[in-house]
Amino acid sequence: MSVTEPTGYAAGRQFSTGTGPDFRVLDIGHKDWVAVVEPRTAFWSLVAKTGLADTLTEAAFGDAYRKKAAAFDAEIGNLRFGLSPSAVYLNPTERCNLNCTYCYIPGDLRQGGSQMDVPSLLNALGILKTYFQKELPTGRKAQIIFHGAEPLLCKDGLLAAFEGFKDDFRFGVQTNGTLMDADFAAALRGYGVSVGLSLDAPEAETADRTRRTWGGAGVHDQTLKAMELFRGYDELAVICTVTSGNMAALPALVDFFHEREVHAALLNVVRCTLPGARLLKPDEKELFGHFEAALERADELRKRTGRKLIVANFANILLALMAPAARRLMCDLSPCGAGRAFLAIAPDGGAYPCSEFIGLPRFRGGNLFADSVPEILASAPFRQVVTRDIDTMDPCGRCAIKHFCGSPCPAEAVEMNGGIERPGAYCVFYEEQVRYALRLIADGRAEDFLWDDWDQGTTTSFEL
Amino acid sequence: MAKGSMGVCARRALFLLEMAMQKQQHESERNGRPSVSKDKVVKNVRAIRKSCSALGTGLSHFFAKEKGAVR
Repeated sequence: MSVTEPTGYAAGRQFSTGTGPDFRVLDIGHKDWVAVVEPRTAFWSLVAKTGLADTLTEAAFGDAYRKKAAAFDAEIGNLRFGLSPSAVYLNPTERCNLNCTYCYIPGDLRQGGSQMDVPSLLNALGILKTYFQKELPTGRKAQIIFHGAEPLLCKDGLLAAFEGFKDDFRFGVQTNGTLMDADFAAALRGYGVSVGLSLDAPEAETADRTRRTWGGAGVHDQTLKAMELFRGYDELAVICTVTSGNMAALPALVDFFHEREVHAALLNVVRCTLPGARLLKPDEKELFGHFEAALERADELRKRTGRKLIVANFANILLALMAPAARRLMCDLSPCGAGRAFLAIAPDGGAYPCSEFIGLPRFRGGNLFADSVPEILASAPFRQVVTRDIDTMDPCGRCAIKHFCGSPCPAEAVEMNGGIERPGAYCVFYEEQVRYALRLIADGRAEDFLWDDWDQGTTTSFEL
Repeated sequence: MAKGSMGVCARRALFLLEMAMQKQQHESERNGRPSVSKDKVVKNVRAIRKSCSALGTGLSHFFAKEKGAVR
């Protein structure tokens, strides 16, 4: 017997029964508004509390949703399952001159690990260039991020890479900044390289608790000198790793960044993949209080000066709501971007779904110098990560905000919570971020937290 | 209070209420929903969603302002 479309009431005329939309009411903590969310399609609307019953039981609301449901479903499906890689975290060295408490790369690798020589680095880029030329649309450049450990230990290789492949890739460098000097900063600016600097607090006393040399010395002042070399540079973003030790400093850190003309910062909560990081995991409610205060502080500064400091990881949550396919970061989605939107390459050519997995050998999916990129992407370790499907996870599968959160991160879930199908470490923090984002939208403030051209290239697909 | 003891006005009000409920029920059965009141919905609802063909950069630890090259 062939399968036919369901008929009658099961065809979706009613919400919450049969094949109808699964409208859930979410208290966002606003005095006038609640959210109505359809989890599967990541559809949401804000509904006046006084009109909730009318809205849900009248046809217009459901009809407006039904007209777009298939398109929303396809959009989220494509985002979750239809992407192909466009970026690579290329770690030219496992070594680092720092011994930060929370680093996800094991200490023995950071002290004595391998390092690519210049020919190997250029060879790796050549392989990736060939792959991306076949896979990406004409005219699109893949992104190569030289990532940690500390890539500035390989300055010669990086300069050779920028010069040799400047027409083939967009480059980025994530660095602790301690080895930065004026000449190298000028080169990065000259090649238009995106730069990510790591700084955890405005003052040395707090920042140096977690970010220090192997001898225990703080590096706050050196990082500030590096930041000064990029003052006003549009391609600079500063990453703060938020822990129990520095979360109270977030509002002051926003002041600090804004004063130094930083355009974008990431206030990334510490990932709990390795045991050392778990000791610094903040209380989530308290964390969100400081995080919200920091965002509000950024908005106060915008009003006063006309200049925005974008907190990019929160902006990404707003984008997940307002323009899901325009999001820039891929942690807040499940499957996340690891192993499908990007991959990470270790100095020996070892391929991992994401840098977060580099300390976990069982997630090594091949070697760039021995296996083709499609073979790596099809390997069992990569498949394990890219098939982490939030719909099948408990309790995430039944959560109304699952496509705005994604329950990151899979590496963390494996190491901290006992399995890749387990939730990540920050359920409450994500819940609070989504509720806050919806409050901002309710109050007409969302765009104040996004960069000015955030919706360039987008079209409005739904508006009420 | 028994129905027979109601005054005329009360009985008429009850009759009209029952008629209104029946009408709504019939309409609901025919359409699957009560009648449309789009103005009321618009007043009570705020929603915005945008789509784009060029997806984001697909990065997790790193933020780049330039839109990326996914698909």
